[in-house]
This record gives sequence, structure tokens and C-alpha cells, in this order.
Amino acid sequence: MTDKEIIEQLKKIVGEKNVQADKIGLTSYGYDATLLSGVGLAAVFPLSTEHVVKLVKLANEAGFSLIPRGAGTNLSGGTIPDERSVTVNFNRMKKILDIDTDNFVAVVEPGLVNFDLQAELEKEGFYYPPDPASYKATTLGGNLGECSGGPRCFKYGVTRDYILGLEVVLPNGKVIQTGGRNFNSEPEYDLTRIIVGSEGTLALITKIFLRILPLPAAKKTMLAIYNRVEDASQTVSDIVAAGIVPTTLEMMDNLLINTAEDATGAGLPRDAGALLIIEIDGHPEDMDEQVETIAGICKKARVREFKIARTAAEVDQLWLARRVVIGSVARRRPSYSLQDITVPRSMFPNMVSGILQIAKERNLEVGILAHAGDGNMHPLVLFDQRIEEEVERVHLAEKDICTLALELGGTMSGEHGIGLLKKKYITLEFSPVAMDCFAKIKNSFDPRHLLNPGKIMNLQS
Amino acid sequence: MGVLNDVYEMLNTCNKCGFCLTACKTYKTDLREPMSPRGRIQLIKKLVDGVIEPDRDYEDAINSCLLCGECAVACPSGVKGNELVLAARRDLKLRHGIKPFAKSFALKTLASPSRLEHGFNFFKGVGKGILKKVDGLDYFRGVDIRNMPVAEKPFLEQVPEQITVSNPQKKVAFFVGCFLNHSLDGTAHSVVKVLTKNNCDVILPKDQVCCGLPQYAYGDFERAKANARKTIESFLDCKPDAVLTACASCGSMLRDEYLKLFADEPGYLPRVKEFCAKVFEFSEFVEDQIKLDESKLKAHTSVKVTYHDPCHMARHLKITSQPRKVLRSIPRLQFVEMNEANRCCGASGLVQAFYHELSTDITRQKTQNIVDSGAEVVATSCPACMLRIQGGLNFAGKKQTVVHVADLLAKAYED
Amino acid sequence: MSNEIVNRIKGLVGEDHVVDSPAGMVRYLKGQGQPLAVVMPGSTVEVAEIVKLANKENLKVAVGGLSVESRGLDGGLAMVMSGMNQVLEIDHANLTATVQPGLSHAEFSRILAEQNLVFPPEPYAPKTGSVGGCFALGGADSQAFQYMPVRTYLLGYEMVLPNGDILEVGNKCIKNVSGYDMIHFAVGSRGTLGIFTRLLVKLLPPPAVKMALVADFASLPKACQAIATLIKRRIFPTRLNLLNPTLAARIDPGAKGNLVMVDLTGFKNSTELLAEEMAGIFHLAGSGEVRIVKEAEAYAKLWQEWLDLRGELNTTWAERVLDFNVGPMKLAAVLQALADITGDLAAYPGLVVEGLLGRVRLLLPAAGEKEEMAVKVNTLAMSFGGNVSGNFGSKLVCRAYNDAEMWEGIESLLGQIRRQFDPKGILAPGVSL
Ligand SMILES: Cc1cc2nc3c(=O)[nH]c(=O)nc-3n(C[C@H](O)[C@H](O)[C@H](O)COP(=O)(O)OP(=O)(O)OC[C@H]3O[C@@H](n4cnc5c(N)ncnc54)[C@H](O)[C@@H]3O)c2cc1C
Ligand SMILES: Cc1cc2nc3c(=O)[nH]c(=O)nc-3n(C[C@H](O)[C@H](O)[C@H](O)COP(=O)(O)OP(=O)(O)OC[C@H]3O[C@@H](n4cnc5c(N)ncnc54)[C@H](O)[C@@H]3O)c2cc1C
Ligand code: SF4
Ligand code: SF4
Repeated sequence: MTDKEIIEQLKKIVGEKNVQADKIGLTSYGYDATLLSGVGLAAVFPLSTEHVVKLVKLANEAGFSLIPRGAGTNLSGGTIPDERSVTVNFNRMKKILDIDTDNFVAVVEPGLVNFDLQAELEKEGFYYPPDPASYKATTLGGNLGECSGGPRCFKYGVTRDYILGLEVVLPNGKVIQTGGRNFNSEPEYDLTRIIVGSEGTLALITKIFLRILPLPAAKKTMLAIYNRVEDASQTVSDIVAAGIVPTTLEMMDNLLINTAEDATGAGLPRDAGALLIIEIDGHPEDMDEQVETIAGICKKARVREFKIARTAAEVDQLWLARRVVIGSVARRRPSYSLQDITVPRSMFPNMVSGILQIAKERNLEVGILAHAGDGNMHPLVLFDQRIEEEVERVHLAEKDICTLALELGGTMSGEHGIGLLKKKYITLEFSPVAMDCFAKIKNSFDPRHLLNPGKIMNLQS
Repeated sequence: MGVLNDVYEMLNTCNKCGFCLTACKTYKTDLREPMSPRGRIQLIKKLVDGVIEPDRDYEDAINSCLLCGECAVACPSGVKGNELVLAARRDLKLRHGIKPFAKSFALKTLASPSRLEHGFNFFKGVGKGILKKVDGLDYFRGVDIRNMPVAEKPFLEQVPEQITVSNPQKKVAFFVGCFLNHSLDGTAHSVVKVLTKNNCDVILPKDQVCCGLPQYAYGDFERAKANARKTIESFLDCKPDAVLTACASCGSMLRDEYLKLFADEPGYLPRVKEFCAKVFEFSEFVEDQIKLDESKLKAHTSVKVTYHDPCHMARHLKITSQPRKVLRSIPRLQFVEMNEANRCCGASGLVQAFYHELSTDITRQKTQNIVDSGAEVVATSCPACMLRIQGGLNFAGKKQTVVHVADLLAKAYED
Repeated sequence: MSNEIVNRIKGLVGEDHVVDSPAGMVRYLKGQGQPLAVVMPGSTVEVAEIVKLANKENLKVAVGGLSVESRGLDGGLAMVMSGMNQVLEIDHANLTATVQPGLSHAEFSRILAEQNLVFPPEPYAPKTGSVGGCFALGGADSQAFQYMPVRTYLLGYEMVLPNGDILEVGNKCIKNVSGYDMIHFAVGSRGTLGIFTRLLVKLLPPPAVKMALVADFASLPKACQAIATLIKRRIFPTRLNLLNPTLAARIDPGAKGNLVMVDLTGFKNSTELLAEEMAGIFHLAGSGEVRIVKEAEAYAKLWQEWLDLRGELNTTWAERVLDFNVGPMKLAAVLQALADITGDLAAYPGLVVEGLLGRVRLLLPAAGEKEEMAVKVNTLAMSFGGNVSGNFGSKLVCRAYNDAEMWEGIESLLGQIRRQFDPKGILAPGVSL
């Protein structure tokens, strides 16, 4: 089939209005939140599982590949197309099919935006715990693709922990349901788990069964400011050891405290080493006791300022710095590269000092933002994409950071995925045997490498 | 290319994070990337980088933007999508003038008072009939033609140049604007009534023209400047304490955009600043400048009212509390908030004419929110929103009516 | 030939760690199959060598903690992991432990208790279950509403693959999305994907207080109503289980009627308040007697009895159990409809409900047709939006929908995966997917 014929066929499947094959359209599906880009053959918007099945069958016949895409906010190059690929945009499949609060289940289509789901659930006093910082824009399909986490995940777990079942279209065009509406309906192999986090390389998700929970009855927000990062990490360890599992333990380092202060003028001390936002939730009767314990722990770790929010407005105030922080670095330098390494909690201080060392060696500015409870860190490496030589150094620093994380017993990716961006480093983390297992999984699902080819790892077809 | 090079720094700051996607009504409605802030910004950047050409599809992406400014609020990196789109439209104008012909004709018409009056007269006469026939409906591009009000005689021809009160506390020059002059003259009368009841002398310069926003929004800075200069001069000539507008869009143009428009004329800028400092929006003026005497307001039948924040009010002028305070001060008026009160109604100047399906979808979301709020009356502060939302409500067969805040307040001064 | 193989194996692991006399093997085997030998490897390398040998010689291999399922294992090797039963590390700072797979689940819990730590998953079979087996079986237990399914506690492992390769994945990080999720994919694979040789597991600090509530209900619908009320009021204890009178009598010989067993763990203030509130709700709902168990020994005994009962259901009675989920608020209705099929549930051999999960387990009479019953129960469960769980369940669902195509899709995918990893089909012959 010629490209033109393919586009004609696509239009027949999903309708004229749901195909974009013009230059402008294709340019627009060529990027994600990384610096990478590409141009595909076409972009389509299926509206139903049937559409997806037909697209897959056509792809098999005509020999093009399919790139599932939600909102394209991934930080891994996970939706970058090539000239033989058709981008499958799921964002027009965005229905909420069922919200069953009695039985803690919601059933949705993959293009639904996380925020839109939360808004509906909130009306019923419920929520869906995984909350990537990008949740206002991202689709659930994309969240599943990357197995996204978020600030709340320390207590509540990541995306995979809230997916009960899926309906997917396999690369051979067959529709299967994995799991179901509850924990116990898996067949032997946990197909749901292998598909979640597979970055669109194994199957096209067309329906999602999610676990939802009632909103917690009470919540407390605290802010602690330290002279030294080590003291903040000590606090984190001690809180966990005390049997308290906060929903959130967000940390910002000195550089980010400064950029946030530039942006807000809220009066953060510019010489502070680290800032920690601590949030707990649960039964109202238990809040005071835990706050007291936490206050004691912070004090022991030589906290320099400790605040407890008493009103909603104060909660907002405590979150202010964290909320603006990613944007605030734009005031320093136009571009940033957001890393996603995770290390065991005990290695946290080593990782922080290691990152600062790398920044110095590579002559780059790096700010550290961390979900400290689970050791997930987002070093923001600042640069200007127009300065090629600097971009080079950024790449080197990225590799240094990944390598160090692995040396400390961690991983390159805690929640953003591998995609194209970190593919070149993946063998640093995985042995040839593990890579071979990945290939076996991929080949079991997708022997012709039709789905999102070239992502995660290179495979010979 | 100069215009776009000037904003390249900002284009470069967009890191494609997508945080603005949810904020944008055109994207949330259409769901294609080129209809999103990120999409528009990236296309503009790719144009500057020479990767794409400014073809039809590009123009569609740029011209379908509502300029509502929601994306700028949502962006963590401080990128202002609406300003970048404005620059891109200016760039298009400089490349090949304004296309298509219908749009450039419309903009020229708006810029000239005499042409505008002819236009409205034509519409009042045979135009309505023709349009009805064109679509076979009473609705043309989502606008309710049959019920679209047209003033019998332009408001400025109905009133004297100056209305004085016995004990004036302020001298207010009223910038009426095209819509209040030609279509919603009743609202203009309401404004005058509120002002006089509050002991303000009202000056109504007869030579006032369009503020220049429609032309400015499509990159015709030359025409916009001509109108702006005329406006500034004729209003400063009256030496008023305040220049008042009851149109949020005019307000943002008069107060904020004029400064940008004349940024390249440092010699004239002081005069622009003098003018801008005097500009007030109706509710803002009533609340902050003349301090409403609530005891003078009379109770009428109780009514449930909600408020729609026009884009230019909420995000450009940043006036949101004052209109609500005004409404709450009216006796027996029960105020309710609707969902997404500050989201665009879909009008956005010529977007409603050239991207009417999109615009109609957006309006439908607004009218649904209104219906859901349970309000009987929608108050707002912009005549363009009034016409758009009323059209949408009529179209959907809903009985809610749309009025200006000034209309409700003026009513409270009636016996 | 077979002797020669046994000798080679003895050479690999040492004479003492191979049993090949039929009489000697009995205590290590479940089922009717007759393997060539039982081997008890002491290290990963030994496991790998055995598997390589088996691969070369086309021998089937099945694994177990203390004993091995011998179905399909004729002439093959039964690998007993009890020789690899060490706790290699307990990391308090990161709340993890590294253990060998043959470590008994019960022993592991005991060691952790001494160190003031908890490994939440309930053992599948308390007397024989190993930590390796715990993850090989996976699933969700009656605490899963609060503590999540078993897989949540696996952070990484070392595994000998069917071709003898050694796979290592995972680390001490809770968040990890690098590559495909082999870690959780292996959970529930029942020894078909490979043999665990080391496990990195997640631990928790113990809750501040623990207490239990036990309530008798003469009427099953009323007990269900009580459970529904708790959920409506958003009271979510750690466990909320219900037993019919036949099974209740095993746990509490004095039990009158159905028994609701509640486990409450958490912070002191809320736990005490909740216990009072729940006791009130149970009384109102018609419970004859509500007991609050605070004393540590009685508390431990109560839950040990629950675990033993659960173990029976999982092992001795496994072939007689129908297990399905419908969601917590549908329990009352589903049990009423179930009684139409089974007759009076109070007199039935067994009924266990895990209230927060909306899970029902029905113990069928020892004699009688089971498949037909399964189809009926499954149809019922499906009409409530659930289904009989496990693979059998999926098959029944597909059958009910007359969706042969979907079943074929699932089956061929599962088969494809198994073949990719184990082309010769040597591992876990008794497990069919
Ligand atoms: C500023 C910023 C902050 C962020 N913060 C976080 C954070 O806190 N936590 C976090 O985890 N991530 C975060 N991210 C990363 C990103 O937002 C998440 O990975 C998100 O889940 C991606 O969702 P999306 O809808 O944009 O998906 P996309 O980027 O469109 O796709 C993501 C992956 O999923 C696949 N996919 C999408 N839909 C389907 C489908 N229906 N079937 C199969 N595969 C599919 C795609 O092929 C791709 O591989 C952040 C990103 C940015 C820019
Ligand atoms: C349908 C069905 C019917 C059953 N019927 C009976 C029955 O009639 N009688 C009976 O006693 N039991 C029965 N069982 C239980 C089953 O045999 C379980 O293996 C057993 O109950 C668990 O015992 P355990 O806890 O000692 O397991 P373990 O010995 O810990 O092992 C449990 C499972 O894990 C696997 N495994 C163990 N260690 C490893 C390792 N290191 N690496 C990889 N995999 C490992 C085993 O192969 C086994 O499948 C049945 C189970 C099912 C699902
Ligand atoms: S100004 Fe409004 S319509 Fe235009 S891109 Fe921004 S949010 Fe979208
Ligand atoms: S405009 Fe701002 S919010 Fe939108 S993609 Fe660019 S940086 Fe993100």
C-alpha cells in the first residue's frame, strides 16, 4: 500500500475528521515533553475498541507501526513517531463508563484525563490515588503506559497498584480482558501488570478498571526547613521508622528554594539547605498524635523552621513553593532536563551529594526535587537548548546521574519510563539475561514489532 | 520575521510539558494538538525555525485561538500562549495581509464608525433575512440572528454630549464601544443611569471610535493604532476624572494593550500612560471608586443570578470580585456561582464567525454550566459575551436571560 | 540411564541432598506422580546446574518449599527448596529483607516479629508454605483492602530460568518502572517462569495497636447487612471476614450461628473508637454477642485459627472450593441468590466471605458434580459483575459470553509466553495455564 492508500484506509476506519495527515498536524504529533521529535505517517483518533481493532489489522496488512499516545507529556520520548508509524491518539476515547463507589471500582476509557476523573470522583467523595504532578493534562492511558507515580504514592503506591483489569487490543488484532473488577480475577500470568508500564509496546489499552478509594477523613500539612539536606533525609528515615506513613514527603534543595523564592517572594530563607513538605492523612483522631511525633523527629534533626497548616489557606501557602518550583527554574535558564532516578531511602544523602558533585564537574546548574519518602528524585538540570555544547554536557551529566543511582542500588526510572531517551543506558541497569527476558515478553505479545517500535530497547525483528 | 524573533525567548521557554492543555477550551473541545496552546506555540516556533510554512492549516491553528489567556495562567514556566498567538497573527498580517477577504472586510468595517453604522443598518434591514435564508435557520454560525438586538438608532445619537448632575463628585467620560452603541443600547443607558444616580457627570464624546482590539487581535497594528490614537486624544481632551467602559474587551485594550501597542513610540508613551491610568471597568469603578450606597437600592422580585467572568475581565483586567460584590449588594438578588465561571464563552471576536463549530461547542459548555447552576439570570460584563451566551441559550431552548451587571444595578435604582 | 542422571545430580548437590527411593520420597511429594528423585539444592548455582541438566535431558522439574506437587512429574525431578532457607539481610533503614525462597513463611514472620517488623501477606498454607511459594502463588488475602495484594511486597528477585540462566531484577526502591515489570509479572506464575532463588521483599513497621472483634449472627443476611453498614460508614478494618456456622464452629466451638471476625490495626485513638463504634453497629444489626479481643495472646490465637482455616481451603479442600468476587456491597444479594442454588447456606459445608474485598469462597460437598456447580455459580457471579476467579474463571467467563475468540486470545498469549521462556516445557508440569 502506498502512503496515500494507507491514509485513505485510515479515513475509512475512523472517519475523515479523525485522521490528521497534513504537515502541520504531523508536526504536532512529533514531539513530547523531551527534546526529541520525529514525523510520522498520520495521526488517528479512534473512538471505540472496534476502531482500534481495525487499525491494528490494517497495520498488520500494510506493514506500518502504531504509536499509542495520550497527552504526549511523557518525559521519555515514548510517543516519538518515525516515518513508518501512525500515531494512535486515545484522547477522544474519554468516557467514564462506570463509577461504582459501593464496590470501589471505576471503569474508564484510556483517553480520559486523570484530572477529569478526579473531578467526577470528588463529587462522590472518592478519589483515584495516583497523582502525577502532570495529572491535569495526562490521560489514564498514558499514566498506565508509564506506570506513573506522584507525591501521594509513598503511602498509596503507584499506578500499577490501582489497576484491577484492562481491556486491550493485542498486536494481532485480538481483544482480551485481563483481570476484572477486583483483586482476585487474574488468570495465572499477571498480564495486567506486564502491560502497565510497558510504554505502549505490548498492547493498546482500550478500557481500564481502576480501584478508587474514599477521600481520607482528615489531612495535615507541615513544612520543615533545614540548614542541611542530611538533616532532611534523617527526618524522612525517622518518620518512616516511627511507623508513620505520610502521603507526601516532598523535598526541594537550596537551588530550588531560591528559584521558588524568586518566583513567589514568599519569604523562604535563601540559605536553607532543604525544605520538606510533609502531609499525613487518616482518621481525625490520629492526626495530633502523629503531628506531635513528626514535630519531635524534625526537632531532633535540627529543623530550623517547622510550620503546621491550620487552615486551607495555610495549606495552600505551604504548598506554594512546591507548586511553582518546576516553572520557577525557567527564570534562570529556558530549558531543563528532568531526571527520574530512584535510590534506596538510606542512600538518599549520598545521591544528593553525588548529584551536586556531578553538577560541579560538568559545570551545570542542577536543582533537586524529590519524593523523598520513596527515594525518587528529579534532578532538574538547567540549560539552554540553543547552546549545543551545553546540551552535550547535559547528556553527560544525565548519564553520570543514572550511573550513580545504579551504583547506589537504585534505578534510572522511578516513574517516567525509558522510551527512547534512556534506552541507551538500559543495559547499565539490566543484565543480558534480563534483556533477553524483555525480548521474550515483547516477542510473545508483538512478534512483528508493530507497537511503538524502538522504545525501551532495540530488538532485531 | 522580526515580530516572532522578538518573542523567541518565550517560545524557547516552552518545554512542552502540556500543563496548559486542560486550561484551553479549544483543545478540550477539539482535542487535536494544533488546537492547544502547546501545539500553537510549537508551530510558531517551527515556523521561525523554518521547519514549516505558514499554510492554511497553520493559519487555522493560529486564528482559532480565543486569546482567552487561560494557558498563560496554567503555564508553570511563565509562557504566555495568548501573547505568542498575537505575535503570530501580527507576523501573518505582515507576511500577506489579513486573509480571508471576509475577515479583513469585517475588521475594516469595525474600525470605521460610518461603515459600522452602515453595516448594522443593513443587518437591521435586509441582512437578517438573507442570513436566515443562507443557513435555512434562524441561527447563523451559532449566533441567534432573529433575536439579535439592533439599536433603533445608535446610542450616541440618542444622548447629549454631556449629562450633568446637581452635585457632581466625579467627571466620567464613557467609552461606549461598538456593541453598546449599536446593539445593546439599553445597557449603555443603564450605565449612564448608575453613574448619574451616583452623582457623576457623564461625558459622551461623539467622535469616539472602535477601541482597535479586533484589528489588534489579528495583527493589523496600523489600523489599531490609528483608532487608539484617536481614542486617547478625544478622551484626554475632555479632561475627565475617569474613562469608563462597560465592555471588558474594550477595557483590556484601553488599559493594557495600548501600552504594548505604543511601546515603539517612546515619545508618545507618556500620553498613553496618562490615558491608561484613567481607564476603569464599570464594576470596578462602582465598587472601588464611588463606593456604592446600598441603602439607595430598591428591592424588586427576587431573582437567582449567576455571573460569567469574561476572559478579558478575569485574566486581562483581573477584575473578579467587584462584579460579584455589586451583584450581592442588590436586594433580593440571590447570587449563585456556576461551574467554570471564568472559562471562555466561545465568542472571542471573529473566532465565532470563522470557527463556528468549535465556538458553538464551547458555548454549549458554558450554557450547560449556567443551566446546572439553577440561575434564572446570567450577569456579565462584556456585550460580546452577552450576545454569544444569549444566542447559545436560545439555541438550546433555555429560558435564562443574559444581562449586564449594569442592567441589574440600574434596575435597583428604579421604583 | 536414569541412574546415571541421579548420579550426576548427586554429583551436583551432594549425595545427602538427593532422595531417590520411592519410600524416602513420599514425605516430599503431593499427588500421584513418581519422579526420579527429590533434590534439595543449597545454592543458586546448584539450582541452575540442575535445571541445565534437566533441560539437556528433557526432564520435568517441579518446585516446592517443603513438598512438591508431583502431578505430571513422572520420571522428572522434584526440587525441594527447604535447604535454601536463610534470611540473608534485614534492612531496617529501607524496610526490606533479602531471603532465600525455601524459608518457611511462618518462620519468617517469627523472625521479623523479633525485630519489630511485619511481612503482611497471609501464608497460603501456614504449616508448609515457603516465602518462595507465597510469591509463586500470589493472589490477594483478606487484608488486601488495606495492605494490597501479595505482589506489592516483592521488590526484586533472583531466579533460575527454564534454560538455566540466572535472572536478577529489582532493587530496594518502591518506585521502579525501568524496563518491563518482570518483578510483579513473576508473582502468581506458580513456578512456570522460573525458580526463585532469592527474594527481596518489602516490610512494614508494626501497627501501634491491634485488636479484634468477634460477633455472632444467627442470620446470614443480617451479618451481611452489618458489613454493608460498616462500608457505608466508611469504616475499613484490616480484615472483615464472615464464616458460616459450619466453619465458625471450627474456630470457636461456642459460636452461635455465623461468625463475623474483624481485625483492627492502626493508631490507638482511632482504633479504640472504631472498635466501640463497630460493636454498636453489630449489636444494632442483630448480633447475639460481640466480643472485643484486646489481649495479645487471644488475638494471636484467633488469627492463627483463621490462617489455619484458610490453609485448609487452599490445600486439603482446594479442589472443592469455588472462589468468586462480586464487590462488597453486593454480598447480601449475591448470597441470597446463591442460596437458591445451594440450599440453606448455614448448613452448607463451608462459606467464607472476605467482606472488604467482596470475595466469597464456597466449600462444595465432598461428593457430587463440581464443574456443573462451578458453571452455575459463575453465571450467578457474572450477573453481579464478578466471576469465579483464577484461570478456570476466565475460561468460564469466556464460555458464558460464548466468546471462544477471547479465550483463544488469552490462552494463546499465555501459551506463547510460557513457550518463549520454557520452549521444552520442563518447569512445573503439573500447572496448566
Ligand atoms: C512537568 C512534568 C511533570 C511530570 N510529573 C510526573 C509525575 O509526578 N509522576 C509521573 O509519573 N510522571 C510525571 N510526568 C511524566 C508524564 O506526565 C507521565 O508519564 C504521564 O503519565 C504521561 O501521560 P500522557 O497522557 O501524556 O501519555 P503519553 O505521553 O501520551 O504516553 C505515555 C506512554 O503511554 C503509552 N500510551 C498512551 N496511551 C496508551 C494506550 N491507550 N494504550 C497503550 N499505551 C498507551 C504511550 O505510547 C507512551 O509510551 C511529568 C511530566 C512533565 C512534563
Ligand atoms: C487448583 C488447586 C488444587 C489444589 N489441590 C491440592 C490438594 O489436593 N492437596 C494439597 O495439599 N494442595 C493442593 N493445592 C495447593 C497447591 O498444591 C499448593 O502448592 C500448596 O498448597 C501450597 O503449599 P505450600 O504453601 O507449602 O507451597 P510452597 O511449597 O511454598 O509452593 C507453592 C507454589 O509455589 C511454587 N514454588 C514454591 N517455591 C518456589 C520457588 N522457589 N520458585 C518458584 N516457584 C516456587 C510451587 O511450585 C507451588 O506452585 C491445590 C492448589 C490449587 C490451585
Ligand atoms: S489563549 Fe485560550 S484559546 Fe488561545 S491557546 Fe491559550 S487557552 Fe487556548
Ligand atoms: S506553554 Fe507552558 S504549560 Fe504549555 S506546554 Fe509550554 S511550558 Fe508547558
